[in-house]
Amino acid sequence: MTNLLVREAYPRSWLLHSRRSLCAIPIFSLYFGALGGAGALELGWVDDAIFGAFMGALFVVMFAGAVWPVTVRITDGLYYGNEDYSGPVPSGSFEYRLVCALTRKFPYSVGGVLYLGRGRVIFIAHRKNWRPDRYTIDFGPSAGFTIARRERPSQWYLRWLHRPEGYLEFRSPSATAQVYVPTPDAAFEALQKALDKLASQDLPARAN
Amino acid sequence: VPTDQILSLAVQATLSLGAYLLYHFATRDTRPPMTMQDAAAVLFGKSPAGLRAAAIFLEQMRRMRNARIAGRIAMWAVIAWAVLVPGRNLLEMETGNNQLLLASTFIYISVGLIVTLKGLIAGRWYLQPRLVLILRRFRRRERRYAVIADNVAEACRGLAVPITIQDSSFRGALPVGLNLMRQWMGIPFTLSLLLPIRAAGAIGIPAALSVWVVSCAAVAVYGNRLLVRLGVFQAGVSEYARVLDHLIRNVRRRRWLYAGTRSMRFPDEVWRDAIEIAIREADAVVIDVSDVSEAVAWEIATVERLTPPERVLIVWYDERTEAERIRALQAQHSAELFGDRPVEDPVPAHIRQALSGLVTPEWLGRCCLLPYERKRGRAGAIAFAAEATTVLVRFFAHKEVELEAAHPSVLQPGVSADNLGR
Repeated sequence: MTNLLVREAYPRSWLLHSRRSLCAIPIFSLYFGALGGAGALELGWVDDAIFGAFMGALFVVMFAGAVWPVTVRITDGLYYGNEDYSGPVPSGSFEYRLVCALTRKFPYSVGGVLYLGRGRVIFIAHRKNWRPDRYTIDFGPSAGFTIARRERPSQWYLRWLHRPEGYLEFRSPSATAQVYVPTPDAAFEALQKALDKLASQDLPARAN
Repeated sequence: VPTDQILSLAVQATLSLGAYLLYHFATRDTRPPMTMQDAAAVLFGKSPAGLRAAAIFLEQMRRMRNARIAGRIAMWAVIAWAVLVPGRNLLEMETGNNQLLLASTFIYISVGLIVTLKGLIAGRWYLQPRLVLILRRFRRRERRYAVIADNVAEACRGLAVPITIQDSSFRGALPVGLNLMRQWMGIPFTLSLLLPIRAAGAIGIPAALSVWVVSCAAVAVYGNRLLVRLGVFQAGVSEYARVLDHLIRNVRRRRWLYAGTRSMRFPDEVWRDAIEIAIREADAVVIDVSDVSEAVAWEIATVERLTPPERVLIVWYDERTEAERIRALQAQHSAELFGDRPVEDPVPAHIRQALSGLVTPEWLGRCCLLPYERKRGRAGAIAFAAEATTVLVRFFAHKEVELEAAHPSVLQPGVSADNLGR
């Protein structure tokens, strides 16, 4: 089973989180500022503002620093097929795999692996997800499975904050889902080629 | 200090610590995705040279991990000391300027001690008795070409010491030789003793002396690192061989601390002889072919003559952006996967053209080729180091296996291939 994208396409750097971190700084600063001004520390408003800003920035930097190694480790585990992360490979023959995040209910997406085979296309959420989110979506045979490229969201804040590069849409008679990958254009091309190759393998089998 | 204020802070600290511990245990991985032994086996294979490379790689990983653990132990020891000894006394003092002054002094001492101890431990653990020679064109204002020294230094941490040799026409480094600076370093340290004598009246003799000792240690550790980065070992025509030999012997005996790439500068008359000596002594050679001048062309030809290609890494400055590089990698992956387009040559045409007249294609085909990125910061260095480290480990393994075949008693038993299998 081969990965459709190269490992380098998935970010290794905590800079991935930097935009969200930047947004989180004022939120946490306000929180810590409120904490300081609420009487716990009896600070004046200047000291309180400095304390809030400093603590907010510190909290976000520490949080980002703690989160990104875990993110990279999970991505590594998923990409290289470690079953402690991706869960057991589903039964059946699969030729390709794609590490991605799938959305059933916007904007909440769940990371996992999409397995592509002639008989079946299936998404399995990874094992580090919260237990209720460890679901499996069976898209059925690859012949009825289609993909489409969707542009980035129209809302400016989602464009800036969330997924600036757009996403893919998977459709089959049994299920529909939005899928996020770091390089949607490359993923779309690779998926299309994989489906074409699977279909071309399917034709001689049917002829026989 | 009011009791309710202390209580409030203690409750906040406990809650924060609790939240952190909860987060830590909730996200803790019980098993790593791949053990180091598995990674080494995947990276280097099961051949004798592969097993040797895996042993070197694991040794480097162990050194890096031990340096981190030792740094953490030093940090918590200093924090415990700061809280238990001066911290307790500070709480008992009357509030006022003296208390603030002493508190800031002890915070300075604690932070300085942590940073210095971590620097000392890491610098000592990262030093290994192997030598990597970097050959490149020196340019004063083209800062991007200096990146390779930082990148190789990052890749060599816990593995080897990188060195580079300039001719006297290059004026980019500090004008004073590093060896001279080290000889005269004692004078400013001695003169700085006047400061604690003057400050003793305000903050007390023990605090003033502690500040002085910590400052001197921090200056020694970080000043050394800064000087090695910016300065050069200089020598004249008559003494260049002695200086070069001294530096090589210091590396082999693990003297000083790991401080990145060490530069040397020799007069034009002896520069080529020095390069030849360094090539013969080096365990691996890194050649930057981004800009091939006449001198670099001579260096490449000399390396071809004196070093087996299995120990030569050829690097060039990659002008593509990260997105372009990922796109190219993805195109190559797609070509291999679906066979819909020919696999592209990873080496750019202008680099191939520059090298074609200098070395034979057979020799070049057996060398390792790697681009390095535009980024000057640590992120770029880490990206390059991840690949360059495995390449350098293979080179060292190649040399050690060759040495072992020639002289079976040369190597230490701790890094033998047999030990890896057990």
